[in-house]
Amino acid sequence: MSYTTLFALVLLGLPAIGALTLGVGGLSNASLRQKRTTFGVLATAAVYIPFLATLYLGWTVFHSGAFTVNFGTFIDAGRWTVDLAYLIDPLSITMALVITGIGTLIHIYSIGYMSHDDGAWRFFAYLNLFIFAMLQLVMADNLLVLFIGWEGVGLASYLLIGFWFKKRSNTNAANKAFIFNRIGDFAFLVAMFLLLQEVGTLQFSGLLENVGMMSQDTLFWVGLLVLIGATGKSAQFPLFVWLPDAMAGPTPVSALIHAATMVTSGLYLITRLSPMFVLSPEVMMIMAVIGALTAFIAATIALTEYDIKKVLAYSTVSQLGFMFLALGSGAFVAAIFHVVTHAFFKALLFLGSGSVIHNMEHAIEKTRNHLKLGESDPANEFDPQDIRLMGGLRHSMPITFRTFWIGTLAIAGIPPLAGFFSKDEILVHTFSMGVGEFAGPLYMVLWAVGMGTAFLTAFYMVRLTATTFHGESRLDAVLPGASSAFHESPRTMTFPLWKLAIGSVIIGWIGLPNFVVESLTGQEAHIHLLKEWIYSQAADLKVTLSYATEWTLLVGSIVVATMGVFVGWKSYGNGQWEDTDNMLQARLGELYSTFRERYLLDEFYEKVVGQPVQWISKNILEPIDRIGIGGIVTFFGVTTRVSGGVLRILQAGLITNYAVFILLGVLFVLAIMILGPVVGGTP
Amino acid sequence: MVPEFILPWILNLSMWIPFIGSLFLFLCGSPKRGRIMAVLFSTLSLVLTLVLTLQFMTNYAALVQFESVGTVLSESIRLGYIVGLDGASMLLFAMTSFIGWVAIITAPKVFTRTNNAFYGLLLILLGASLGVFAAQDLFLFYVFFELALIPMAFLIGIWGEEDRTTATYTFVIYTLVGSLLMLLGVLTIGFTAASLMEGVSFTTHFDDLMAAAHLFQELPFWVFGSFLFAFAIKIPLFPFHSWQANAYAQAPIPAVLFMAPIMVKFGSYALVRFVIPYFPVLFGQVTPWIATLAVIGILYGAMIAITTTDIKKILAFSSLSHMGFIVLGLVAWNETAIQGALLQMVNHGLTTAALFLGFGYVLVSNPSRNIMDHGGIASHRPVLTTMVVIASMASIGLPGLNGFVGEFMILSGAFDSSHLGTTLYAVLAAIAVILAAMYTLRLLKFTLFGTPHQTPTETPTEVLIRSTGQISDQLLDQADEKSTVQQPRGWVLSLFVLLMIWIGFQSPTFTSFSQNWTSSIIEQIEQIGSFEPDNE
Repeated sequence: MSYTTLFALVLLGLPAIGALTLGVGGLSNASLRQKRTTFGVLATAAVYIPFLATLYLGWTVFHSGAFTVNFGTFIDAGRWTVDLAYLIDPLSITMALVITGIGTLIHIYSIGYMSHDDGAWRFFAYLNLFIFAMLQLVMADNLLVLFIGWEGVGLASYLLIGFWFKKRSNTNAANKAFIFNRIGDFAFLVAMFLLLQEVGTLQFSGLLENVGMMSQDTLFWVGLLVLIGATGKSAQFPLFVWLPDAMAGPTPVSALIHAATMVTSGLYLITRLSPMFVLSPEVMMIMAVIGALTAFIAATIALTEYDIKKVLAYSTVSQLGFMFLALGSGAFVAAIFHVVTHAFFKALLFLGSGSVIHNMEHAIEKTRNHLKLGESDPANEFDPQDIRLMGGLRHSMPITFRTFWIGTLAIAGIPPLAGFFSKDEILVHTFSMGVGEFAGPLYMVLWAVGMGTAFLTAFYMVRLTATTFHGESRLDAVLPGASSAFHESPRTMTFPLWKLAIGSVIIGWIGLPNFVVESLTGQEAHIHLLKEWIYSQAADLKVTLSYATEWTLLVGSIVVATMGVFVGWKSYGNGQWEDTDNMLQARLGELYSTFRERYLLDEFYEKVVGQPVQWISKNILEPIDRIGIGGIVTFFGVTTRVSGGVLRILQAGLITNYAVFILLGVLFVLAIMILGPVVGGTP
Repeated sequence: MVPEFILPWILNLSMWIPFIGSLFLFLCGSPKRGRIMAVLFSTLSLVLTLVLTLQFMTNYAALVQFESVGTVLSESIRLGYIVGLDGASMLLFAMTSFIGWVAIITAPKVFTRTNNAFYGLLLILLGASLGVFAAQDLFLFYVFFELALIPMAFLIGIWGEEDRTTATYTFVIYTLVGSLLMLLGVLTIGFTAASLMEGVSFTTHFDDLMAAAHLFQELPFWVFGSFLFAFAIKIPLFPFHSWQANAYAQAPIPAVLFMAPIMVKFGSYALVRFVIPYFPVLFGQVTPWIATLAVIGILYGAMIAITTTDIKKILAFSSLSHMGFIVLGLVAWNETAIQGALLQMVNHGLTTAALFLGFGYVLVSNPSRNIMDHGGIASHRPVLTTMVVIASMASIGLPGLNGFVGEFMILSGAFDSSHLGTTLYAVLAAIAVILAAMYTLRLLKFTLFGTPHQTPTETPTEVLIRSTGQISDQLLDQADEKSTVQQPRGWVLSLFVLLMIWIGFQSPTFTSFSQNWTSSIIEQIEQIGSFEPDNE
């Protein structure tokens, strides 16, 4: 076995071994479960070592190019076979680095975060399972192995959202996430059937070599179906409703799964198949519209949320929308770029919010005990995630405070932080499509929506940060003296915050815009390192804009982001969230309540899908089954019972005898069959 | 590895040891040692079956590895005891042996009223089920097929739950009506096939019948219809399923472990083993109908399961839905779909058995079958919870576990099938992946998760009133016995889980069993000149 194969095996296998070891260990011995830190450290090692292996593999790929590792046949269906094969190329390495790198930090963070939870053993086993599945997804060499990861991350997500299973609402959220994902998976499955029928392979290189032979219809349908699949997993309109509910899971989970990695798998898939998608401009257009719509809708909802994690959740949906807009504009590199930068600052923000929630929970509980409040006291109902109860946290948790601001500025798109470069690149591409031939005006509208959303992003993020950390502590008003119980989180939690903050500052520099240098020197530049690295997997559409336009757009991006931060700070910087929100509500009227009620999407699904399905099941199918189909047979059953009276014999308790009789009878028949020839004398 | 000449003996022994065991139990088993003997005999049978399986794996290429052994009644009446295993039956035989063994060793954990007669009947059931898959003679198949019905009727009728009488009658009469009609069919084709052979007046040997298959196409439709009807009931195919839910609900768990995973496979096995091969032309004519019924069954079962509250009935309707996939795979009739269906028969057996056993553990400590009366099992029984969740995921069709492989092969085969002629069946059937998640996760939500149902806010009296209102005397009996029943932790289920993961990642190990058989049967049928060759 060569070194590369060995390292690939480590990368793919160690998290699985970790999950298995922790799971079986925890299950088999109750006292072992109390060793939470040991579980955490082992789990971290099972992600960190693969991270190192990925670095090695990346180095190999850099020097000697992409390669595949094959572990035998996965399914042999006669007409086609699918191998358990993995593709190690720049794109998969990039994703794997994000997954294992940020994964490691979040594992370390979780050691502190889960140190008081009895379920820590399960938690770490699930986290490792997630990393395993996510790596399957991004390393896969064909769609079917990718699908193992695709659904595997769904399982891990289901288990982790419903982690605190005693609370029914958590399980409901977990089920919702799984089922909404399944809607997308259904489309994905049909896409695979179609590809098997038309092309006869699911292997990426095989598919992409044959895109030329596929008819326009096939391209369209496969593209649309894969897009629907990605819409489910990557929480796009109209299937994004599961993601905000998914915040029911522990915060590290929200950071890792529901912000940094799993939700980007739809983007990864589309990028992987980008040579196929670019041949179907209609699908690209639908994708861009979905992306822009999602980005805008989610941003407006985030504007009105008061739950710190929900704001971040909608912000994630919104950023994923940007990424879809990028894909739809043919900016595949930019989409992956935004995946990478977003992974850093969104993980940072989520972990920061976890630190805040941890602190709030602790303070509420401690003060409640201190004040000796009874069971029925309203203080028991205080939601530690409600930003209306926060404020003034900057004094007690300086590290969280500072890193959270870095994350906010990064996502807002303030240069030279990470978010600026990726977001700007996306909008440039959309604008470029806007001056293009196919659906130009539409793309121009999408670009405008994107710019508007960029402003909103900066605005609502400053609203969140300012309301959480600035002003005076509002918890004191309802729980006197609570703020004295505030404290910064332990080292295991602040260490990842710093690391991610540094990443959020510098990671954008891997994608500096080439035109800046080009316009100055007049020569072709290669300072967009990410593009150089993954270009062969992500076939970007060319940007056809003059340098002047690109400069204008760049400056425009900066202005919009700065304006957003400035206006946000003016409106919320001093803890005046109540006045500003009321003002917004008064100004926007009905619109504001639409945002606040999340566009009534949940209610829509409940009314149009959930309830009718239940109703049909209960009031139509069940009676049909009971009366219609069952009735005929019951009739037979009852009449025979009345006439036969065998029942009495059955209940007479002579069963052993009957069974023996029957057995003897059967043996007799069989004996005749076996011995017949002997007795009959025929040879 | 094993000398050739011993193999037939091993096969015969693994089939007959359960019968011998049951005789022992009925005639001279002391009440105390009944369980030990049952475990002993079933283990012996399982070990022998494993030897056969491993032997088979050394040479997948051979079409029939265990030559048909035995003898026929006479030269002119070629009907007799002929057994053997080939690609179609080997895995099902092994699965039966394994699940039967699990049913017997776990019986005291999931069922409190076991005794020698109970174990004896289980052993007969095991032997008969093994016989069904080993028979190489249609008449012998029929004998075992019917034989399996008898112990099952007793098991439900005597040891079943409150509504056992109706359930037994529905089950027995429904199945009997189907199989008696089939007997006429068996006789007809037996005589028809004999007309080809000199000096033979009747034959039911599989090989003879296959050789005469072209004659069967001219037989009246009812001959084919009788087979179809019998197996449509057994599988069950919508709308012949009405015996199923109540039978599962009323039967004791060890019996369900035979009925749900194994006995329904008699029907699907028979379809692929002889109904389709013997009547390809007629089957081709009814293909759209069967496929439609299969798809209706898939969606109908799943839809009903979404609001059903009886745990065992949810699993029953889930089974109806999943068996629909297998039938769809068989009617699609190309290599991908058949291979998928054959594998899925094993997969469905494993997942259904694991789920019924898992919920059997749950029901033994809280006998209410209503999901609303359960909850919070995850808090105090993590092993059981983990295993049940994994089995549920396999049932939903999560890739990496066994159910997905079979389902994917079936659906992609059906999507591409020239016999079905349209992709619509596969696409509609695939909707079940969403519905399956809905009802399965709902089942998990109410049983495993949440808080334990008997919360401290309820006084002991309230608990007593509530539970006695539902179960009456039986509950009191079981409450008495509960002190002696140790709550199982559920590690047995990890055997199932290991198999699920193994099949999930290494399916060729298992599809290789039937690969040659499948391609040869497709070829033979094309020779009969009935089906147009598939565009492959």
